[in-house]
Amino acid sequence: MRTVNRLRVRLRNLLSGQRGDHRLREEMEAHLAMQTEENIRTGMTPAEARRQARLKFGVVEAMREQYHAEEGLPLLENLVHDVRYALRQLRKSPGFTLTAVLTLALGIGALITVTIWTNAVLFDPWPQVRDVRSLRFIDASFMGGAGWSVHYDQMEFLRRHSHSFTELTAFASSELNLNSANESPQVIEGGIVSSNYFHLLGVRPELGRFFEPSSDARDYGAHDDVVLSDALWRSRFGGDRSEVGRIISINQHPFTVIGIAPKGFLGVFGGLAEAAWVPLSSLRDLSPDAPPDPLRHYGLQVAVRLRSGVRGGTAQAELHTLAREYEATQHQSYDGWTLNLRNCAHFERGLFYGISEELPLLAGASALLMVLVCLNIASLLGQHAARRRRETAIRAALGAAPRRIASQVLVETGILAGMGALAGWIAGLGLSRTLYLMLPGFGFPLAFNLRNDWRVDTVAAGIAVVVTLACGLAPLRQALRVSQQEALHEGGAAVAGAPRKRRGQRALLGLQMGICFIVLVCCGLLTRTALNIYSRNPGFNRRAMLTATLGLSRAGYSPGRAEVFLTELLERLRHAPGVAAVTITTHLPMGDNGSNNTRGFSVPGYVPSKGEDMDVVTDYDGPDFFHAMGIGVLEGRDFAVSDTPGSPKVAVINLAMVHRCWPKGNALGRNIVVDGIERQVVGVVPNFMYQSPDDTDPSPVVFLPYLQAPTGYGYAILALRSRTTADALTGELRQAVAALDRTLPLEDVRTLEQVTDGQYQGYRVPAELLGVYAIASVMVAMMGLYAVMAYSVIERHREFALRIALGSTRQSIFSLVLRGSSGVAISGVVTGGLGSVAAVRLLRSMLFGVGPFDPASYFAAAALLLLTVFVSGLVPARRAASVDPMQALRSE
Amino acid sequence: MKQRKDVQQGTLALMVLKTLDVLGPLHGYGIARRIEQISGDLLFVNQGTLYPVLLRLEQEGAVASDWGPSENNRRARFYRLTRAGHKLLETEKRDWEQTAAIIARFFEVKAEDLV
Repeated sequence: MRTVNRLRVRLRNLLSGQRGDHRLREEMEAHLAMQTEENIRTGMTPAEARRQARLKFGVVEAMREQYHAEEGLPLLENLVHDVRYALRQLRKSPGFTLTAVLTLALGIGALITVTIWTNAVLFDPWPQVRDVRSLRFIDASFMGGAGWSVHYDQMEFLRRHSHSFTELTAFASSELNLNSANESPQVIEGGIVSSNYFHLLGVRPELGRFFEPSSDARDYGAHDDVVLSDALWRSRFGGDRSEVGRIISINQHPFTVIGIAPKGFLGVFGGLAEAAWVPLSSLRDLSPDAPPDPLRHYGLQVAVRLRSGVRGGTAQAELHTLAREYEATQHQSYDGWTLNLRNCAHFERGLFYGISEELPLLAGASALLMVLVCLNIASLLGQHAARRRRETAIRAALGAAPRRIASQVLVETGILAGMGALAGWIAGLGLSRTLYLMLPGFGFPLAFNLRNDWRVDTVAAGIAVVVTLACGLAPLRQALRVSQQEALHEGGAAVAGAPRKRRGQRALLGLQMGICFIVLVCCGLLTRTALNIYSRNPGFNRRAMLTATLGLSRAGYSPGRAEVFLTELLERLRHAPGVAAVTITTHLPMGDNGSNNTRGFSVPGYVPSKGEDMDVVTDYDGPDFFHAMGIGVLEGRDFAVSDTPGSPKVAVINLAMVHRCWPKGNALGRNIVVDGIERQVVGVVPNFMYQSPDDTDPSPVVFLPYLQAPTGYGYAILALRSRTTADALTGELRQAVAALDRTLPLEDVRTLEQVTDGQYQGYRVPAELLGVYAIASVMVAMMGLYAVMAYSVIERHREFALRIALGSTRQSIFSLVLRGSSGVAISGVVTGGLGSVAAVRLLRSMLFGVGPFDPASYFAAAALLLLTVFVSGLVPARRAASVDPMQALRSE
Repeated sequence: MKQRKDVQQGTLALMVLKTLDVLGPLHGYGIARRIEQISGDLLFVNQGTLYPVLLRLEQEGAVASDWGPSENNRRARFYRLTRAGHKLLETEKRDWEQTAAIIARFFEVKAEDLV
């Protein structure tokens, strides 16, 4: 009670700033006066009486300090003072503060970015899903390859016979055409799921209800219901609550909206963002040409929940047994199949798989960077403390307790770390989203749960604490050593010319420089590779072309109707203003759809060698395809409007095909049989980059007229060559399609550059990432080098003063200091050179048009490194050269 | 000159309380003098250390203080014991006597008593 009372009074004093200083002074004066009078009475002179009274009273200042300590809350007050003092100190040396905070931000930012991604991929990939870590997936291995989907009947067999799982659910992902009143048609990624899908995932509806978990998936057409994602509901239906219960059209079939999924839930298909879910029983109504029992042999993903207490190994063993038992009940079609249990981090059909493989590498790189940051921050702080050595010594001499000095140093380091963590946290949030943009375009919406949650915040706070402790130790040691009053009478040490050599620090710096050198070399090699790739002529014109996909069969088009529609659409677009040329195709050069479809072929008179694969890559293209793509026809003609199902069957082939089947070059006018149909070769075109910009060995390709495809394609990719820019044609294209069919959505409206960029990204992104990393590590190394050199300049202050006093020129002092860092540079280049021999070995497969020991990259890296060393030495060298000998020698 | 000891804070507080109990309201100098007289000038290096102790006791509510005229008509701050102070003195006194008794018995013990 007494303690509480005191605390209350003290707190009030602290907050109100009220002080009894006045009262104390008055009391002290009264006390001294009384004592003086007493002394006079005993016979002292007045002056002696006053002196004795004071002596008896004791040190007034110490007493006042003690009195104030009783009055307020000294711990808190000291903290406030320390914080204020630290902020003042940091403001006084903005260069130091900025360097430290930026470097910390760099290291922490990189670490947080990796944390956010690791969290999004490994720990919390699917918001709203209950207990993600206990979720498992089943996939099939077949003919040595894993990651195949599971058939519905296989899953039903597992459901009936397994003892390891409490529940199983199946799902697939598919594009769906969405039509609703008064809205333009839209293509969305949708999930086709078992009725217990939401139940197993533990997701609760935001509005309405989900599918009835017990309904039969083979009860086709009985429950044509749809659940919308929150995002789709808000963007397309304006978040209208009465939307639940309405009927919308999916793939030209009516579906009832029964519920809205909670905000953030986008399905569990890897990193793919789904926008709506329909039951498996609606499969037959989703496509006009569906078989009577579409679930038979339909490939599905399977998610399960393990029964509690069942170990993964047990469940896996049971899966193997059940897979064999299932095989026994079937005809031979399941020979050699087996089933595997996966956790969510290895969801191989999704995008997570590849990314989760890269994560350890990124985590290692950022952890290394953070360690370097910590080491260098420590030497920077040490350097900073050394510059304030005298001040600390005076504080100690005036009676500051070592504990006070230590707490003050820790507070200052803590503030730096806090600012760095804050800046790094912000940078990390930004950076993690920027990385999103660097992912190659997959052609569908992505869903990575890149949000900032308590784990990320914990990591940020944790890093700040660790950094404080790690970095605070160096200056703390400094400060405490100084407080033992070494500094006040240091004098001799530096004059004797024996400053500590800091061998450890220098060796560490050499190692850092080595790492920088390796990173720079790799970055140089990858940059040259990217430049080589970009400078290659793709063989077609990537600029000023707009592309879009039409999902015709999904929209209920028969081949006959599709032919009429496409002919009419091309005719309209051909005469639209701004359009230079227009065509359709099944595969855009370097595009992500429809590539490498092979068909059996034969050439009359050509005898295949033994074991030769008589398959060839074939594309179907519309009229003016080569003209529109900017590919010059070498011999014969381009496809024309006159190439229809009824006209003579023709083909165009590329040079690689000519070399394969007509080595003498007389291909034009000859015949080729593709898929059993004999065609005449009417044109020869040069090889262009069919799939990727690093094609060096072009494969033979046969091009066929789109309308002469045997069964018709389910889709057509439109390609419009613009007279101005690609984007200018978007409105034109939408109008033309809407005029013919108001319900047909345009998918994937992208420029050809955007389409083909996906192929270049594989080269650009690593170079960019490594470039960023190189800049970061060079900056960090520069800071470390600067700190060590500045430190040694301070230590050798008197030595420089003496040298100048004895006649040395400032120029020679300047170069003396700079030369001091050459050892670090040389050891950096040597260790880095050795290290990079090993490092480029790993890189070899990523290089294009440049050798792993490309001299230009090595020279550039070495030059950059030397420049770095030079620049970081400039300021300390100038400081050394500007020492005023009189002042320096007199002041010590 | 005799070696003088600085008083432990807790002990000094007890002395202050007892002084105020015996002599009634008193100013700081008076308290200091009184303690010196009783302890035979053995205590106190610095009289000033008294004031933080007085402040602490006041914050704890054991003493109250007010300005008043001293013997020589000088303005001085007078301290007096409160009810809580009386109680505190009683407890402290009991504790002290207990401790003293225990220590005393330790000193009286001779080796043969322990066999």
